[in-house]
Amino acid sequence: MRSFVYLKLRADPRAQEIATTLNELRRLGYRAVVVDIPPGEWSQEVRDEVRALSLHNLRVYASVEVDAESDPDWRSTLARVRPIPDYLSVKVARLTDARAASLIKSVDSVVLSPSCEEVFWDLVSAREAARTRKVVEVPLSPILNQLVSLRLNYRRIRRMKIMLRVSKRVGLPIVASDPSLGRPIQPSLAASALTSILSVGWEESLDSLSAHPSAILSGERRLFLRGYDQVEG
Amino acid sequence: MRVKLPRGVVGRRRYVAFTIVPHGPKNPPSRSELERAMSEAALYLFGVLGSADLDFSIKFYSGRSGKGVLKTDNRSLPYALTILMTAAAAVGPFTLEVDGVSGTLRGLARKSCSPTKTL
Repeated sequence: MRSFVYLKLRADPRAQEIATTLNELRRLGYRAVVVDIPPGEWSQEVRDEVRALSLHNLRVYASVEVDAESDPDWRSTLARVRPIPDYLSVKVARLTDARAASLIKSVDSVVLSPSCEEVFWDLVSAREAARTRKVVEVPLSPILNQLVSLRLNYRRIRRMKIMLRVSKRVGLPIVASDPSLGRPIQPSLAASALTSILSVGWEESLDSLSAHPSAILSGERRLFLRGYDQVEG
Repeated sequence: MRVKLPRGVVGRRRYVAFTIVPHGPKNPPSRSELERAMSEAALYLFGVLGSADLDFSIKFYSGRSGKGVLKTDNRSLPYALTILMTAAAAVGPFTLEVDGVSGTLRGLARKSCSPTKTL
């Protein structure tokens, strides 16, 4: 049986509602969840608080996403994220940022922004990311929200598909995340969305929610090649 | 810095020289009108997900002569021509004529016997 991982839960770890959300995630079939903390609020204490939220059947990990799309000084922001969280990602929307992010050792995943006006994830970046054992992350809820409100035009979907094909060509795993504040999405629905909208194979879609994020969180895809300590698995 | 994509991820480039011929004294549509009509025709004919598999854009277009060049790829070529034909019919009483198809702009100029620089 697969154990699904919910990546990027945007919730305050100190809020009362977090317990309800975690129970809901467990009911939907998730066995691990990654709580996303803004880079400015990240500290050792926050990481410990997040990890302490773990339940009997649900492991809770801490993550930080640095947004290179809106923050021009994202490299300094990234350098200030210490200690290294369980899962560290950089959201990119430009070729130069994508090339830079694929080279940085501490980064676990590169998030492809769906509001892209050009193809920015190319063979050079993907190859480098595969060499440093990163993954490429597809944020599902922004894609679904833009699709529903008809703001995501077909050209953007095409660009996303091309970028995922490039990743597949070099053997770079795809992980699906759901960075939304609303109700969590069921694993089978998330995999269906990935398959139907972005033409990712069904097994690959399921792996994107289970095997690949689990491998990162357990430390298998991480850091023994990059020269950092492994995270708790 | 240039985007480098592996072979086969996107189709092989095709350029289509076309003319939009008006019925009667009406002027051909403007570039923006044609582009908008093409986008609507693509969504109407193939939907969002179907259109996402297609690559087509107007490379050159002259609103005065109605001549233009459509950029597409070998996989999307028949769909792109259908979209262009539908769009031409949608913006007014126009018909579409294809003057030539080629993989390069130079080859296209040779085939369609009209230098693309004058478009």
